[in-house]
Amino acid sequence: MESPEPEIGALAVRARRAYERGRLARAALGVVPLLPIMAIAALFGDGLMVLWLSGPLVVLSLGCLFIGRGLERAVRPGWSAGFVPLFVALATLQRFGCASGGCAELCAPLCAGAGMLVGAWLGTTMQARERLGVAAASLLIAGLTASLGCAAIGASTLVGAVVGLSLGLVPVWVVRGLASSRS
Amino acid sequence: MHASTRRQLQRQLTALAGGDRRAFDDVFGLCWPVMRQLAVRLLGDASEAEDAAQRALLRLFSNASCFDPEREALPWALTFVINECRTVRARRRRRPMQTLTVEPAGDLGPEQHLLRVDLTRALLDVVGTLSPADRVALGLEDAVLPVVAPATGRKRKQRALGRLRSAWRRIHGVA
Repeated sequence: MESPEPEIGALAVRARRAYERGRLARAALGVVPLLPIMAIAALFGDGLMVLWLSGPLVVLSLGCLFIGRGLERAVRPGWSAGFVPLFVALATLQRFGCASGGCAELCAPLCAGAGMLVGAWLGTTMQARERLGVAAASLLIAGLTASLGCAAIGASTLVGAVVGLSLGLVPVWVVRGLASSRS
Repeated sequence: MHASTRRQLQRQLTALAGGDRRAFDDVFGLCWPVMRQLAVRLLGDASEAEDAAQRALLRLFSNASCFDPEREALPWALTFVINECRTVRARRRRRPMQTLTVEPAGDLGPEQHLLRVDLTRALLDVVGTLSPADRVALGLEDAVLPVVAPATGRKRKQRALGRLRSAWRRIHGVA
C-alpha cells in the first residue's frame, strides 16, 4: 500500500496551484474597471498610443493584485490619481482640438497641475507606514493612467504629469515620515 | 479544534488572503485533517469522503484570496466540505437503482429470463416514484442510515412498503 505522505504532498501541490489560479482569476477581475477608462481614452485620444500604454498599465495592475502583500493597495489609488490628469487632457483635447505638440503651452501646464494636485491627494490618503514599493507602484500606475490621456497631446505633457505626481507625492511622504519618526 | 488553533488558522488564512504565500503550509496543515474528518462523518464511506474532502480543499484554496478576515476562518473552511458532501449525497440519490440489476440468464431459460427483466423494469418504475427516504428504508439505496430505535426502523420500513404497494397498484393496476 502507498504511504499517505506522497499523497498529501501531491495534494498540497494541487492546492497551491489552485490558490495561485484563484488569485490570478481574482486579479484579472480586478483590472476590469480599467477597460472603460481605456475605451474612453482611445475614443477621445490617440488610439494607437493608448494601445501601447495600456499594456504596461494592465500588466502592472494585474501583477500588483496577483502578488498581493500590500501591493494591491497601490492599484485603486493609482487609477484614481491618474484619472484626473487623464480627464483634464482629454477635455483639453476636445475643447481646443490640440494635436501632438501643438498646444504645449496650455496642455502641459494643465496636465502637470492636475498631476501635482492628485499627487498631493495620493500622498495624504496613503498611510505613512506604507512600504516604499507600494508607493512607487501607486505612482507608476497613476503615471501610466494619466499618460493614456496626456500622451495623446505630447510627451512633454506625460513628463509633466509624472513630475507633478512625484512633486506632489514625495514632500507629503517626507513630512509624514518625519512626523511619525518623532512620535 | 482548540481555541488557540482556531486563532492561528484565522491569522494564517487572513495572511494567505492578503497574498502571503508563507502561510500556505500552515493553512493546509490546519485545514486538511479537520476537513477530512468532517467529510468522513457526513458521508460514512471513507474513500468517497476522501475524494469529497480533497475537492473541498482545492475549492477552499481557490477561493482563499476572497476570504474576509471579519469572518470566522473555521466555519468558512468547513462550508466547502459541507457543500461538497451535499453534492455527493445528491448524486447518490440520483442513482438509486444500483441494487436492482438484472442478473445474467445463468441456469434460467430464455422465457424466465425475459419475465425477470419485465418484472425488474416494472419494479423500477414503481420504486422511482418513492421518496429517497423510502428507498433507503427499503434497502434499495446506499446511504448512511440515521441511528434510530429498532421499532422506529421497522415502522419506517412498514410505511415505505405500504407506499410501494399502493404505487404498484396505481401504476400496474394489480395488488
